[in-house]
Amino acid sequence: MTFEEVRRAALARLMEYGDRWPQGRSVAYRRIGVRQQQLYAMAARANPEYAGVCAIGTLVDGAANFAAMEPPVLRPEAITRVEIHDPGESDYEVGQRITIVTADDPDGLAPRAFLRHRVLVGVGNELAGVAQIKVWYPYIPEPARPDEDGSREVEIPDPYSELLVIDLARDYARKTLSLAPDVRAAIIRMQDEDEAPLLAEWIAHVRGYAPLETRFAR
Amino acid sequence: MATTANDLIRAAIATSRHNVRGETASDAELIALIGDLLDGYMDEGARVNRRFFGGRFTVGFDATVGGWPRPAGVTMVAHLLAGEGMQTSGSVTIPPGTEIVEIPIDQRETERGRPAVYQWGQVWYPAGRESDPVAGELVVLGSRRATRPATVDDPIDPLWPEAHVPLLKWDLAIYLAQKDGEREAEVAAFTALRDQAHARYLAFLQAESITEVRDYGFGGVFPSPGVTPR
Repeated sequence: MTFEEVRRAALARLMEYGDRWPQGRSVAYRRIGVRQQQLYAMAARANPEYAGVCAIGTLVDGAANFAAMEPPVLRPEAITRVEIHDPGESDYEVGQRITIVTADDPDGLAPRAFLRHRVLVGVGNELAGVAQIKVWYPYIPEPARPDEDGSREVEIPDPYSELLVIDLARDYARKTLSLAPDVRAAIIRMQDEDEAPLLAEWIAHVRGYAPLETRFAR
Repeated sequence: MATTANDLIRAAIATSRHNVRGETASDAELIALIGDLLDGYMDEGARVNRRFFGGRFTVGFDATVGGWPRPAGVTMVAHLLAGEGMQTSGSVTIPPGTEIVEIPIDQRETERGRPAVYQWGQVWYPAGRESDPVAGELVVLGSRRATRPATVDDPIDPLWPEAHVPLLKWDLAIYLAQKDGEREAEVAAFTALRDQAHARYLAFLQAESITEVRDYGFGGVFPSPGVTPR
């Protein structure tokens, strides 16, 4: 389903209520993109593996900037693991976990690092000599750019793409001045009622996507 | 056989024994009035049903004004499409039939994913982005003005439905009665008949076709009163 198909489906959802809806498509595409990001952010909390990806970062002076990682970095929602990918001149092993610590509580197993404003910085000189690190994280999709023509496929799978349709229909209803207040409220309530069970199914789908065996509660 | 201006004038003259052809009003006067009535009713009809009096106009890029002039014969523009030879400022060809979006002058960054123009002073100008057209033909789909009869032998505009010729006849009859003077009873009677014919004309335009299938919007048999077919 493309962004444009989502827009058309949202208009079809509303056709019983009138034929005057906002015309601009780029604004609708942006809304679809933002809602998709929100749904993937929810998925990242329910099951970080579901939309999990990895990226490789090169260290410069003991620090790795996520914005410069390769392949072109998908937008991270939550970092789940950082490990040594290429020990370089250090004594660490490939795959050795890097402990992410905070500035006010830096204790932990070496190698340790701070992760601040998308930059990974070794504590002291603990990442000295390390050539590359590998970051594991669930991503969230890119929003629509203003110059997109709506032909891009949405990433959320069917039938959950309907969540994007419902959200856009609700957004249209909120923004249409010609609707009587009670009609607007009824449309929004109807979309809310349609959304709630499907949203629950989306989270259930994300949680049950694979039989995860973990030692820690999620 | 299509109704001519002469047929219409004869029918209007026949509505009253007081009317005398060539004396109550000249043929030239009535031919001009028929043109005015067609212009007015087709313009009104376009607002009720934008397809019925639809026309397709091809406009070439006018380098002297730097845009595409609005065709004089269009009463309401419904769609803009790329025609032959349309190109962007980056010399990329825009395939014929591609929808061209009209955006407001103060929001020229909107709809950047689609080729766009803005209109000012009845000229469509390139919106100024790299993806916008700067050359070639622009196809304008809209409702067109009536073809005005010039002589009594000219037919009424071919898009005017024959079943609604009486609407024009009663308007002519009202004009003749008003011009003649002291025929208030006839004016009132003809006005009532004209109003009935006008209501039938609008009802016809609201539901003249029931075949259109749409993903959204209304175009069906019984549109609700507040909804205009597209």
